[in-house]
Amino acid sequence: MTLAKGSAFCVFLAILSAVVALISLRTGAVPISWREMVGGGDSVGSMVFQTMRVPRLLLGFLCGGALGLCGAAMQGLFRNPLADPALVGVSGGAALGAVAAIVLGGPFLSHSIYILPAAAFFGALAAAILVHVIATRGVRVDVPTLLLAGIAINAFAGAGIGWMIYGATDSQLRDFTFWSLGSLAGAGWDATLGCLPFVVVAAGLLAFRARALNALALGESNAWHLGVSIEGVKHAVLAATAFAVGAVTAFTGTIGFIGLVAPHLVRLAVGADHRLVLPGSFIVGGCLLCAADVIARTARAPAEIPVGIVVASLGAPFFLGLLLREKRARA
Amino acid sequence: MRKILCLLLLSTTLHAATPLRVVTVGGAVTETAFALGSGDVLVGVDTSSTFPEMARALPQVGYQRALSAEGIASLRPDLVIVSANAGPPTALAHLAALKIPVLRLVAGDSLDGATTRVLQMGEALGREGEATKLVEKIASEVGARVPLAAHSPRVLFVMSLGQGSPMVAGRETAAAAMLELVGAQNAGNAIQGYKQFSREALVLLDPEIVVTTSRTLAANGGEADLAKLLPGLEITAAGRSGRLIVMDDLFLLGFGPRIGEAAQELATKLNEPSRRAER
Amino acid sequence: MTITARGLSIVRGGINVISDVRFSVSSGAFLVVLGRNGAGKSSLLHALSGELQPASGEIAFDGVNIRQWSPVTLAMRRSFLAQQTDCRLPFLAGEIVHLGAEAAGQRGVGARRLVASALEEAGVEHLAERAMWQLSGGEQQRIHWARILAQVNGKPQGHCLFLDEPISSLDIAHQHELLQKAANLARRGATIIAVLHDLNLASRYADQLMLLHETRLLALGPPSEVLTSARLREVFGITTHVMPHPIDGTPLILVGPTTFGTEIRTDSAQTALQTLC
Repeated sequence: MTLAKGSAFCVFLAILSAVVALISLRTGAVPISWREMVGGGDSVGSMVFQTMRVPRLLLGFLCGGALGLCGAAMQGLFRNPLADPALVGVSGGAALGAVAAIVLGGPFLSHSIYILPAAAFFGALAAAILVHVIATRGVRVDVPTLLLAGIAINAFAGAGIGWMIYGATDSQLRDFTFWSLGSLAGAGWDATLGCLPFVVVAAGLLAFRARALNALALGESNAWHLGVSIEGVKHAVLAATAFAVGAVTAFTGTIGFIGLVAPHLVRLAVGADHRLVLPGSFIVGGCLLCAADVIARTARAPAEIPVGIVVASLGAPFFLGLLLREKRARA
Repeated sequence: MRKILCLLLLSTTLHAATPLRVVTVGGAVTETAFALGSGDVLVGVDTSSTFPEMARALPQVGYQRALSAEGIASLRPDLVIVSANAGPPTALAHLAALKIPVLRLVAGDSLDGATTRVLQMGEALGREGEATKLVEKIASEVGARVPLAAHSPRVLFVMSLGQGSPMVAGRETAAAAMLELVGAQNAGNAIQGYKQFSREALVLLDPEIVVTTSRTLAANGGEADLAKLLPGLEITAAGRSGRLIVMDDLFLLGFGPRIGEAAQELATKLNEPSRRAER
Repeated sequence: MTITARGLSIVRGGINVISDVRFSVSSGAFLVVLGRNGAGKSSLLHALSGELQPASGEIAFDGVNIRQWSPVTLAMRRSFLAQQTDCRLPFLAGEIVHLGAEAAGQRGVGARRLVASALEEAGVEHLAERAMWQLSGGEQQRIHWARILAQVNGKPQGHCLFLDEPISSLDIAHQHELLQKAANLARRGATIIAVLHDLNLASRYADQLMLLHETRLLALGPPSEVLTSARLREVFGITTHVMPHPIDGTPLILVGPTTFGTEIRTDSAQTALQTLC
């Protein structure tokens, strides 16, 4: 990695974020004038801008960013570009928490709009802790066991979700289905500020681990011989994923693909050095989700498409295209 | 008495003037708006608003439990009328924050519920007179329904056929309420809500007549043949007689302004003699 | 760097691989560990490098127990080249070597310079901008060798290199090149501890050989002392003929003519052949 390449990349990310932010703030079902955006006041336009557009943009960035960052960290941990935050049971746990709240929460749900996100978050955390405990002996995290434990916990969560679905009423079923499609529609300042501390904590945990993740790519033995604290970085990655992905999934439902695609795009552009891949994946993930959200909000206005569907519909063919192109390049 | 108090309470939250731009969320809600003559002020409806035909041409605000506040706001409504089922709560909270009046109708799959909702809407839309007339019309239609001949038949309501495990309506469902309204017995009375039954369990219920919706029929071959839809019921009374009734979802279960007509039609069909000779 | 081991016992998977081994290696030594598969050679290296916890015994670097060294300090004083390294993320060769430079404590410009010189020393500077996955197994191994050289940071004195079958993927020329370079580092003060399978390469480059057999240290000494036909028969069960190299006299091990039988003289071999055919 040369200094020039790194700086050029940073400039590009800054411009990309600014463009996506601008487009996101300017588009939507309600037309908002520049004056309403900047000047404030209490017309419908400015109210929509202040209470909905801006927090939604920020939530989209936080959520997409957390997914991208943790996706990159997971790929570093598992030493495999196909890894994804969902592997360690976080998404399954969140979904189980959410469906339990929807089906069993009943009367409590009408008291507070925070019951559902709280249940989803605790589900995510519980799953992550369980996976972590199963795979850890003493201080040492055994990565193959981690993968298997994640699969087992996801399956268990799936069973639990199945039970809930079986006992659910029609409207509960629909609610859960829409939740699991993933949406930024519930975004208000409370959701955005609710996620923020968790994403900040996760970023802090991963901030100085880039070099360690680089070394880990050569295997634990080599990384150890290079003087890297491998157990420290493994715990950090797991904790960061549990917090950040747990929090964003709690508020926005399960959004897939971004944790896989964002780091891949960054690596295509600047290579595998985690010092660029980690922050790059955060920004690119955030931009991807915000861009998908623009489409989700406007393609069928005044109705909204759950953003998870948009991400998957565009993400999957795009990713396939990338893979085919790479396959041809390697042939 | 409680009804009147509710109405008074609700009325204090609404504009005094007749709204000129209204969004309705809920199939029965939209129907009622049209029935009260306010179809021309509607600027947006949800996905379940399929009747009358004109409603389908209106702008869509999405699925009633996954509404978009910004989307609704972009239609600049003076009033948003939502069914009790509407959500998510955050969207409704956003609408309130944007100072857009939202009227949430009372819940209740019953004749009482239906008439209260008509009156609520009549008041909100400034069509009190039409509302009262509609309520009377419903009452007379229900009263005029054909009483069930002989005994009260055991009716099985099937909501979907789900790959061999049909979803049956138990107690406390809209279907059960309709059956009760016309005086039939709900074969699925032992359970609560909609539940999946195995074919064997269905046989144990021994229904005399099976009722299902047109959407379910369309999703399963479109042929109104009981033997084809639910094979294995041959030994039940319904299976032997082949008695199957199909009605439109919104019409039968909406508990909207057409509830009286629906009750009449259901009662009439329940009275029809069996279509196949007894084996 | 002096490495001493006392009462070293290693257990892997419940099985005792090494019992009560004791030896000392000092600066400038090139020690090659020999033995059959499963004799514990790799385990010994991993224990000496500090990665594997021995069942009992003590290992010290320059007199200080290895447990008292922090991983970061250890990384500046010793490096480990494995037989094969798997890397599935699309790193460039230069970036891999950079990891070695960072382990040596270098950053920024200093690191880049160190990477350049290590690549040159290993003869792979032309591969720096290539992705690792594009390189052959042998080329990848040479990049890892460059990484190790970067870790040495131009200060072989006081550094120990552990080489665990480092040449199995290299062609014959590069095999010798790597071992020659290691021998040069030893001459400049480094300590080299390597596991090799090729007896002749061991004989040529090592100044000390260690023979491990059935959990014990069977022999430790210069090649001429350790490499005898009797010893080799005892450890490997093969028939060998050891003779001095015609030019410089280092022991040359020739296997056969009948590898697994007793030693037969040439005329008896002919008679045996005639009887069979």
